[in-house]
Amino acid sequence: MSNNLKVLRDGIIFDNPILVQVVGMCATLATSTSIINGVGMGLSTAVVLIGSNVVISLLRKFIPDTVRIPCFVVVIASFVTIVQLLLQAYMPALNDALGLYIPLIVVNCIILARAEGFASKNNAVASFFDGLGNGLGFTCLLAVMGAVRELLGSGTFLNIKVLPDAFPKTLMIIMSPGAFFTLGIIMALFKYTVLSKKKPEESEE
Amino acid sequence: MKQITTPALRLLIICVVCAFLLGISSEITKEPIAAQNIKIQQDAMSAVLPDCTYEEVSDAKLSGSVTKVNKATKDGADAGYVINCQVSSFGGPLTMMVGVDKDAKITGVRILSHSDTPGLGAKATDPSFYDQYVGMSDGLAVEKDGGKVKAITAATITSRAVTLGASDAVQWVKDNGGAQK
Repeated sequence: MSNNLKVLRDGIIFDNPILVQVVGMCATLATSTSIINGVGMGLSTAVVLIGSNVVISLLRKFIPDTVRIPCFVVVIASFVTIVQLLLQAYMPALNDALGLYIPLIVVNCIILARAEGFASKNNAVASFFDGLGNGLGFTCLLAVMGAVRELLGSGTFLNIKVLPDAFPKTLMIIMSPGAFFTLGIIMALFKYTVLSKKKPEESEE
Repeated sequence: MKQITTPALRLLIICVVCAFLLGISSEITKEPIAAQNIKIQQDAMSAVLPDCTYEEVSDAKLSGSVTKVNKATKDGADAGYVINCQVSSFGGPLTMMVGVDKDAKITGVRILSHSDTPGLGAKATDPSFYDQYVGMSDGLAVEKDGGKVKAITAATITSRAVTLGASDAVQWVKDNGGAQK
């Protein structure tokens, strides 16, 4: 398995930003109330993450170690703001769908965590795959959480009614406590099933 | 000394470059964004009170939650008003637009912006909620408060807020609609 594919896979599964690194909790808990919200947030984050990873990686030799965090923050915030302005101006339809999430991305520490943990130490191509992998890992988790919370909380799946009215809707699942419960259970199941097997190829290498 | 100056200088360079890029993007996108916002406003107006031309009433006497009044005319005749309201809802301010015809009947309601809980209060942006206001003029209160508005389950505060905005808009037309040309 080539190195870039391995970076991609680790981002999605073995280093999943939510389940393993446990970063970006705020956005996860807030936007996973339905599948559409979750996937929208996940994909917007993936795009920004890829962009910021590549930019940080290209600048990594120029950025002095002692002031790297302020540099990352300035670069990431500028990048997100420019994306937001361009979306508002030239892609109003996309902005309508994703505009809600963009301000949330700025404060999402997945971006900073990947800049610090990966992009500042690796080349642009690897950083691109790291951004893609982490972005997709984040999106998958938000989609699963969104599906569970939407089904139990609103009785719908992708806004289509699936559970009969007689089935009790658990409002709490849509609200913040439900987010914590859902995430906790998913995280426990994930650790039990996937992580307990450990990375299989790592041991062979 | 160099240990301090080099990082400081490089941080400065990064900040200057970023600020410059931000300035350029803001300048380039200023006009298209302004045009988009006007279009959004126009679209919302023609959704709540269709097929009219709108003109802002600049000297409107604002009351309650009413923040802006547009007079609508259709084929030269008065058609009613499109009224912007800002009410405080569960998650903070909620802005909405209400179309009211000249008989003080609601022709449409749209939520422009809100910060309520997705899946609960945010359901106010569904047609199934805001379409019930169409045709109403009296009884603008949620059922729990003795009115005719069916509240969103578990989002009474949001429902009350939207209803208050609608009620203020109707009241404004009842108070000022006849007096203003």
